[in-house]
Amino acid sequence: MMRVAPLLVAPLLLAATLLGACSKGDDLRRYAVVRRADVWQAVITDADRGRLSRLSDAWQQARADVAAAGSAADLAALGALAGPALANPKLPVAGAYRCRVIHLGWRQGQPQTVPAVQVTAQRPCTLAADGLLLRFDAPIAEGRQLGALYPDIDRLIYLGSVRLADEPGRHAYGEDRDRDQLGVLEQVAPARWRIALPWPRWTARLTLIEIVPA
Amino acid sequence: MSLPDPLALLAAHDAWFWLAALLGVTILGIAKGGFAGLGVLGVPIMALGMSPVTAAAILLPILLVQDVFSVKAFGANRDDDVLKRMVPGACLGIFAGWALARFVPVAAVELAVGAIAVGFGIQRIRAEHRGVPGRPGGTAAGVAMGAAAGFTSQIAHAGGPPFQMHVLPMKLPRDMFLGTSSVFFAAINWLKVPAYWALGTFTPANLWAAAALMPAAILSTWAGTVLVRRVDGPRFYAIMHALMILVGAKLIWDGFSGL
Repeated sequence: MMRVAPLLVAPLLLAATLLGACSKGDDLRRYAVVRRADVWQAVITDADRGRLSRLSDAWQQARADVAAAGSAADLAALGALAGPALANPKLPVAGAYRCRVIHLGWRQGQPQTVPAVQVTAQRPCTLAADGLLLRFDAPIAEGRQLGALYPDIDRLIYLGSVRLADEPGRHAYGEDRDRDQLGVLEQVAPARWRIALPWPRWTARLTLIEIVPA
Repeated sequence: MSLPDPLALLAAHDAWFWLAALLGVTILGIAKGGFAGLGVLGVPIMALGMSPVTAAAILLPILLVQDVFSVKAFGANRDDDVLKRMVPGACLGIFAGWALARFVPVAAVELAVGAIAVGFGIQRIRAEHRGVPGRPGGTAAGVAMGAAAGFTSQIAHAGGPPFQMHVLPMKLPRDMFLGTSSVFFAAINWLKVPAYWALGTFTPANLWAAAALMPAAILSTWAGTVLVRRVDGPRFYAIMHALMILVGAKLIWDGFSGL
């Protein structure tokens, strides 16, 4: 009776071995380990994966816009917020915070009628714990910035959406690419973090959201 | 909201993706059909054609459907006393795992559960050779091991070893072990759905891929139920012990990889 199971399972394992020998190599696949820091990769859209990989380009282009507009002093006034991220960061915990939004540069093709560095006033925002995630909720000029911060190696990946002012309900990330928001949360100083959003929808080359404890 | 075209989403995957997915889902189905533990090979095999994260995201909805078929096949013959002790414990464990998810190191959980599973599997094989009789599990132990299964399942998808550590020594009749196991893991997997829904991994692309693989998943689960009924009790337990050692070894591997 027992012979039936090996008869079925053995060919499957043999096929898997052959598949493994013939398929394309990839470091991640070889270990086949699902890491907490990889979860966001199952959620992010292909378009945003490309945007994320060009985050440093967004910084470079935003700095170039600011320099061309003669607003370098405004950028310098942001201090650590526009500087390099801290190594060995301490990531934020759930709680009440204050956030301000900084738009750097202009969207491609946008008339350069607004300043290259736009800074909003600080407003209350929240980080709420939800299992692995931190849920982010912050008011912005267009309405609310709502999304989730996913763990990554030494940073958090922000995947969110925008709810326009007075609009009912909420849009999840991935439902409407025109609203999808992508960013990287890093620590820039003790008790000070930023989410950098490369080429955010509608505005700027790079948008920074500063997060400090309330 | 713009709805993505399902055919375009499915056509975006190459032949390796579908071959690996079919193999992984088939092995998972056989595992769900009664050879618990074999399922540990599901993600590694699928990962030959896609990233492990995508594999895990596609497998979750498939697992949920396979659970329904597994319960339908075996659920009538279950040990309600065991379930009454373990399922409430599992609820507590799943909640604790959700609440502590950001603070508990997954690799440490994998290593600990893996090492215990290997040790327990070896100990059970030796006990079988000595002809040690089955023993009933206590209430406190049932609740505690249910909580451990829920916690390790939520944190590291490793709920199997704690469940088996509690239930295998009882030496339940084969079909009763299968019925109890299928109901317990169906309950655990469905209880975990809200947390996984919140993660956002149920994307349209992953759900359509899961839907395309569903016929193979259901057929292989059915094949597993047919196969397992051809295995007599002692051999069934010998397979369970061997698979437990396999699961333990995989968890130890995962744990070391994550350190």
